[in-house]
Amino acid sequence: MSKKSKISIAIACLLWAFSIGLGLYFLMNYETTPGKPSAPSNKFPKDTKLKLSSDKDTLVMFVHPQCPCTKASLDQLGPLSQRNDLQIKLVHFKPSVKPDGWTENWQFEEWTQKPSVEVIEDIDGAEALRFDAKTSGQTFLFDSKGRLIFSGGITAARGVAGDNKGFNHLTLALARKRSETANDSNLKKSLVFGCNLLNERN
Amino acid sequence: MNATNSGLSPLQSEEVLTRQLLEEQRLRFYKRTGRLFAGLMICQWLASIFLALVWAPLTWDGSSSTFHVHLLAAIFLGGIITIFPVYLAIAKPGLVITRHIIGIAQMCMSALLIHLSGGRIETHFHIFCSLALLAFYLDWRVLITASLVVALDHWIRGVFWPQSVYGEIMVEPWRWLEHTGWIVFEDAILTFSIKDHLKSIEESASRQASLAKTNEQIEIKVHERTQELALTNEKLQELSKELSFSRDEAIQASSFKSDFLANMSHEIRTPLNAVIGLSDLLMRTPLNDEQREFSSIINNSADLLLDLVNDILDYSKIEAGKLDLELIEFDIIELIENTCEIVNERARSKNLTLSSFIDPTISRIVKGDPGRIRQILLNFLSNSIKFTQQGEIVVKAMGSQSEDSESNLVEVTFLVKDTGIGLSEIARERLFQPFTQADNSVTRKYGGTGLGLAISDKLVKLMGGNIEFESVYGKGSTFGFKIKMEAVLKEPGQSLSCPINEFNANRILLVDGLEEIQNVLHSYASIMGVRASVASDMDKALVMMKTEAAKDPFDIILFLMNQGNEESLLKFKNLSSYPQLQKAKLAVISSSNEKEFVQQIMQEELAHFFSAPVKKSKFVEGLVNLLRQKTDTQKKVEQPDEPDAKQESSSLVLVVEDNAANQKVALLQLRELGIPAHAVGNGIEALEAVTRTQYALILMDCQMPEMDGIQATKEIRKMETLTGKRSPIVAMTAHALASDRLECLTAGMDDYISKPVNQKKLAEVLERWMPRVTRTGNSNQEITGDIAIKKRPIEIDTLKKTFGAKVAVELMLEFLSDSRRLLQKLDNDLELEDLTALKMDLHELKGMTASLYASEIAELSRLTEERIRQTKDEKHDWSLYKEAIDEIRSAWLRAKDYIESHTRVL
Repeated sequence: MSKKSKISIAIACLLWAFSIGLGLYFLMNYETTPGKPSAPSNKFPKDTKLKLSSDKDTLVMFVHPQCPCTKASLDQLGPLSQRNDLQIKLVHFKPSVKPDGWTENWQFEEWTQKPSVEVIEDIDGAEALRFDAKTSGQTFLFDSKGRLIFSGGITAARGVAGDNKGFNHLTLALARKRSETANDSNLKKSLVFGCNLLNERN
Repeated sequence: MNATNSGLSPLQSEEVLTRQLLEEQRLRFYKRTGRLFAGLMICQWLASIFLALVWAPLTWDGSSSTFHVHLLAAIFLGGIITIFPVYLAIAKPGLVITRHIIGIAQMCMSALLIHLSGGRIETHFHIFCSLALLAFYLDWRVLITASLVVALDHWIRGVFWPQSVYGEIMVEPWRWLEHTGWIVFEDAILTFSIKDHLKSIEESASRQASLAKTNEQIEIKVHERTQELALTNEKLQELSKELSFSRDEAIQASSFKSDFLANMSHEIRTPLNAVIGLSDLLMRTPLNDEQREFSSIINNSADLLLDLVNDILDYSKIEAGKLDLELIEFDIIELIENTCEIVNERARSKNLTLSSFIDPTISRIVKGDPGRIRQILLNFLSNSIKFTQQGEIVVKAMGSQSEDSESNLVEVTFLVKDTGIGLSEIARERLFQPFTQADNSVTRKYGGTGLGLAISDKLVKLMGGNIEFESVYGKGSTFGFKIKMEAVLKEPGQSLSCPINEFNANRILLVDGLEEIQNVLHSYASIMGVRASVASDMDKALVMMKTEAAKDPFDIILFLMNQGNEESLLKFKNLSSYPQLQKAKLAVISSSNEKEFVQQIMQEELAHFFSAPVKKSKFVEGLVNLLRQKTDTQKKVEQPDEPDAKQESSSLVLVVEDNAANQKVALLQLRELGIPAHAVGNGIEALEAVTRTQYALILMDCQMPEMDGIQATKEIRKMETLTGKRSPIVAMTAHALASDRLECLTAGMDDYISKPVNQKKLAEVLERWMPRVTRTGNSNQEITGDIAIKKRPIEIDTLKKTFGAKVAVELMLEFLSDSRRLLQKLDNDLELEDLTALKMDLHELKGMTASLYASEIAELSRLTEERIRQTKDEKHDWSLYKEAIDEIRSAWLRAKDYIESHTRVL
């Protein structure tokens, strides 16, 4: 093989490696970029149609039914659905312009079978606006008195389940005394990774 | 795979070849694995796109959506990862960079898939599988590169996003080393496997190299052998050609040799014929002692020379495989006894007793080659006589029936036993080598060529036997051979003219003599039933007669006389005075030369004389006669075998012979036998002679100018079919091969006589074909030529008597010269028609020829001269004179031939 060929191949190799590195970098960056931050109220919204449990903590998770990241959020939520001291409200976005079948998701069907879980369709994101949920997978935990204990995402990155800070905060919030957690602002700052629940214009 | 197919040089060493084969094998693995990964990566790429489409095709913003970044990454980033290594795998297969790029790409593809799968831990297994697949390259360095990529990825991720790799947020800083350690562990296992595999491949390559090398060596050897074979073939072909050429040359040389020998034989025999014949004749003329001695030496030397020629010819014929054995019926007894007769004279001259004994149980008439058996026996006998100074020689023929009782084969053993000097150890070893004798002193002392036994040995082998001998140095030898022959008459040989029991009461006493002849005679007597006793000397005989004769008298007392016991003959004669022996008949056996001496001593007491070597038939006949007392003593004395008185024949013999000397010899021999004969010089003349005259016998030479004897015989036989008369024709030629004889007989000849023809052979032939012709021992009858039957052309004898031989020759030569001159003058006179000159020249010729006893020419000249004188001048007929002159010329030519032949002989 000639020297020119060798050089050409070497340059091609370098370009190739650089391209791959750059691609992976962008991919990683995309996956670890959280959704827009939100400023939820410390109290369970009054104008919501959702009902706060009087004897249990109420966990409200807003998800976009078509977002690929929803699966990771639900996978994280799954173990909590076994708890008896928790009432889960799974609210999924439903644009009014979309047909009924648009929200059909086999996971939702599964979740509806769980006794402590209530799957709620959120037409045009009305409830999301009330709770100021902006990203799919955003989760809120209220105690029986309607106090916001936790707010944020419970996945490591976009579509990535597993150990992460948000989920750890939620678990901590559920374990601690309500008096201790209600005033802990750290529990309300977990990043949310997923699709936007509402259109930008909203 | 062989070296050729792999493009290897045939001169590479096995180690280099192994390395090269290994490299080729590796290259094949690289290319094959490269192709495998190219396909796999394309599949992975397509699979990643498919997974992205399934898992995350879109990303949403409320109710609106766009393509998900994962899908774009699968398409574009996956494309980047895949396309470049696939290109290298296709365009640059087997290169190091290709392998490493593929290794890196495969790891990158693992990372992409992990991302696309949302970081599922299961997707990490793709890395381990990929490493295992990369091991297909059998290049552990590729594993290292791939592993480094993984390690780097883990390190970077562990620092910046550990949860994406380890699934945990909080990880120790060394956690990437743990993961890398597992990768290294897998690498170690795979590397071990690669090394092991490479070792197998190396061994396989080594075997292949060894095999290729072996094949190469075999091919080289095959090539070398093929070249050697080709070379050998070429040499063989050349050799074959040379051999073929040599064979042709040898055959031609053999043919030339045979022809040469035959011709030489003919050429040598022709003058030998003259030498032997004329010396034989010369010794019959009155000679003084010195002349006789010289003549004898000439005759003996010629005989020896003839024997030598015969031996050499025989040996050459045997060597050339041209000797044809005859298969004819013959009488064994006759053969043995005749053979003894041939050498008897020589034995007698050395005072040796020669006897023969034929086994009485042997079949008498058998089929074989009597001539060759006789030749062998003669050789044995000749040697025995030569090497025996005193004592006796006995020839025996012993027979035994073949094991197959139904076959007619008999096995006959011929033995010749002597009391000679015997053979030394050295002589035995050299006995059958041609041209070799016991030692050089033997040749000097006894003469001979050393061919005799070699020829005999080969002849016996041709007959299916072997010569065997026993010899005690200083005491004697026995030579013999055993051959199988077909018995024509199965009856045994004893043909007695008496009943077998007739003489049972008779006794015979054999007195004195040597042991062997005693045994022979004892056997013959026993065959007759006569009781035979042997007394080794006269004293013992006397004792026996005194003690036994009274009780059982002897009927015959036979004295066996030999050298040294002659004095005992007187004692033997006196036996008759013994009263016990008065009835006994006294008989003596001795050589015929001693007969007179014996008769003188014995006088009336001799009842019978047996000639030695005694023949069985003669002996038996003599005994029978004595015992029957049918004849008186005198009449019983055996007459020696002398030629019968022959009746003179008026028939003529024609000698056809081109050689003047041989013609002369034949004519002289015939004259000696009292046979009138004509002689001509070739076949044409013979035909003319036969046309004019009916001959009792024609002696025909075979090789002659103008027309040879074979052709002449055929012509004569044709002519005879017209006339109804037939003359026997006997070939008389120096050609000695059996094929010549056959040719003669086929041409119509009746018999064959080979040259040199001696008087005896000629007499035998005449006896056979002209039995009624009376021949006198030394007739003075004229020998005449064809023209001069009544008158010779010139009277040479008269001329010799008148002027002496020397002057006679000179006169005859002058006569030829002068007469030639006169004949030329006569021709001239005729041409000029000069009558006077013609008469004068005729007269001169008449006078000269008359004075030289050329009476025919003289008479013709006289008659012509008279005719001229008696004719009137006007009536001269020149043509008649010319005829007369031609007749004179013919007479002159005959006279000339006659003179030339005589002067040559003289």
